[in-house]
Amino acid sequence: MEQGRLFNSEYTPKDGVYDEFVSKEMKVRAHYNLVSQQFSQYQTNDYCKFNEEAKIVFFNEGITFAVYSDNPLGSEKIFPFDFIPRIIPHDEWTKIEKGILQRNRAINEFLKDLYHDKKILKDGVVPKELIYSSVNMLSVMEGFNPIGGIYNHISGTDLIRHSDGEYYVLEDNVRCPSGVSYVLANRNTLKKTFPKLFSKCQPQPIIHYPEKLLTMLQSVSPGNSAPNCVVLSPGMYNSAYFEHSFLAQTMGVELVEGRDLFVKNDVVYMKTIHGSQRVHVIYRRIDDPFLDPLLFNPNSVLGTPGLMSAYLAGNVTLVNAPGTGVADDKAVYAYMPEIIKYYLGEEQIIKNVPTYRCGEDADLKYVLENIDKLVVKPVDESGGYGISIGNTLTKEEINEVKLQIQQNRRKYIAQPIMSLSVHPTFIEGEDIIESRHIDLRTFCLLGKNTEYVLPGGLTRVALKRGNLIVNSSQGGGSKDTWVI
Amino acid sequence: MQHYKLEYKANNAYASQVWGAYLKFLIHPYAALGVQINNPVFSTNVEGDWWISNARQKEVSEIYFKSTNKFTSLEVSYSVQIYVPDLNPFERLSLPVDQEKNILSSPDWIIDNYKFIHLTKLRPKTFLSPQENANFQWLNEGNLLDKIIALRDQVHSTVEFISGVTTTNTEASEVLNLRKGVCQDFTHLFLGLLRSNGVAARYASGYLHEGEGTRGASQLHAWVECHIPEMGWVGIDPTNKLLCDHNYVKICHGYDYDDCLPVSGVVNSSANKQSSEHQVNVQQIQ
Repeated sequence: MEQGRLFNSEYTPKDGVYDEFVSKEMKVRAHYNLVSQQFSQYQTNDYCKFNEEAKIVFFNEGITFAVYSDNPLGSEKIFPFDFIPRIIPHDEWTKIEKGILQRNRAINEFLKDLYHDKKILKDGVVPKELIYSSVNMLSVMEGFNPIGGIYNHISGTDLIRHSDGEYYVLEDNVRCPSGVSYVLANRNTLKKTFPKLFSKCQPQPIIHYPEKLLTMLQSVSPGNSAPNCVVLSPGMYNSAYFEHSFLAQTMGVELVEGRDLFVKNDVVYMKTIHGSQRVHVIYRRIDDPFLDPLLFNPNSVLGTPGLMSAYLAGNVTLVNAPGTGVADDKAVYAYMPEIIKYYLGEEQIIKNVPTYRCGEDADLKYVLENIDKLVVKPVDESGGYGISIGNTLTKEEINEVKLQIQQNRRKYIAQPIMSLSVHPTFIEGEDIIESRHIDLRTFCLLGKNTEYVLPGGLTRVALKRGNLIVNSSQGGGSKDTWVI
Repeated sequence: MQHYKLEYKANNAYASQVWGAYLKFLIHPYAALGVQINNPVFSTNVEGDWWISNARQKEVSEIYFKSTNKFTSLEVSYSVQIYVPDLNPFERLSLPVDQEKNILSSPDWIIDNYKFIHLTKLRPKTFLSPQENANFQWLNEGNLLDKIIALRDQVHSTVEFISGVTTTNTEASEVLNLRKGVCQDFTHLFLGLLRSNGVAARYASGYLHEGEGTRGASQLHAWVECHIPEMGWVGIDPTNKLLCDHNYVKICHGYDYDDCLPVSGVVNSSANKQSSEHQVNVQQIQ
């Protein structure tokens, strides 16, 4: 392919994937014109300067995360940031926004149904075994009505753009999706780096996210006009601790750990130096099994004893509701087109990646025969752990994956290897701009009579050449995302 | 109407000092239809707050005890009076076999009861393999209740009532090997077999008013409840080979023992050893 001088350096798009920045004919896409003009004025040393500046901002503001595998003590890394923004044109975004809302509304209806009448199971649309074999199906939630009928208050839907130019949903995250603080931090940093470009392009603002989040939390409070909302964090060793403190700070609410709360008479209180204070809404960033040692993991010291009985008595709202994990299981994902149709009577606006369920005989056969063309994922692991990508494996590795699948069929699904779209990205060290794979995590809020999708979201970029896994825990970085 | 006074006493001793506790007691009777519960009195030797929560199920009362004081032993005593309507388990009639079969095989029935039907390794206390299940005979013909009773009698004759052999962590397949155990072991094994045969069955825990030759009355007792079309949840006691009547005063039910722990909670302590004793007394008031 012909090389284009689109930045001041040479930028070579990749074959067979969708390039967000240039078309196949090597023309800069219209929505990138302003950015392209601006960037073509710069030299390599300017890029290095921008990169350094951005790093300093991140370092000074403590925008970090911890990776568990190499940091048992929880020391932190700067979240790698790429200063070339990803741009989504307005009309494309309108469709994405509708699709995200549709999907998360359907997931909410699905959860409501699973914890009440279970009509979708009775009608045979989703197999009951799939639901009841999930550790995330919580029987204590059965028959319980959360305030406003909302379960997945905060959802993070991951999207990719395939080589056909279409957006696909890669997965749903309806437990404690993280990453939104990096969206806000990225925007803040880039504003400082390119102030003029911002006033020219005018991307849709995202600064009001904390306000929207707080409004949503207040909307699901159990009957108080001035509810006390808190962010519940497992503590400073958690990988997303920066985010927990960032959100608490920007919303103007307290950041608490389990030991700062106590329950008396089924009411949750927070210990303060002015005495105990009632808590109405808890934005919890602790997974279900650690919430309450009386009901779940008895060895957990992260939660608060009695929290679940306060919740079930209707005296406090937990955001997201416990038991939502049953809906973001990767095997349930495969049924999302049917789930949307069942509850909303609509076709999916954003498509699903075709998914093979190893629990089903015909699918298993296909998976075993075509494993080199598939990505195999465990259904119960988040964060990109345990994923094997067929075309990168050796023969022995393939055999091992096959064995693992056969030993625990229900645990695995497989999807065709989707070619994530690419985007020009500055490569530190080599000091060049190259294309790298990206995805998009969107953030959606559902409250009592309030709905909101953050314009843009978190564009994650796989910084290693050829790598498809964009998770921060696996060496990914991120970009600012503009909707214009 | 039967009138009982129920008493529960427990003594928990810790190897070193405890500074603060948050405990949950499942000892208060289940507020079934027609049951009257009067004068619950809960007291401890350690100062603290206690309250009754109906958050999980409105019929189930969980007693919570919260203390920030220091102690090395905790004595709990609880008493309550209760009126229970008379119940003759033989009065209830089964549906005709065909009608019963239709209901039992309908997707609605299966899904509504699935959480008490399905066996899962995630809850190993009642998990049995098909081979283990094959040791017992499940009748092909007849009403569901008759089949259940036939199975109950096999469990009763297989397991010998001996205390001290098993613990609260003993699983059904171990009970089958040992062929010895106490009421919760009989119950777990029976539950595993019932569920293997597609019966919706749940663990019930409660007080037993002692009759002649009944076992398990000096401790909290355990039995099985089976969901039977038209009859509802029917109590069946594999330990004493009985259908449950008004002498069985339920506290709560769940998938297995883990859902019905009489005491659970959190204590702040460096003690790694603790011992506890329970005593239960059911007294009939004329």
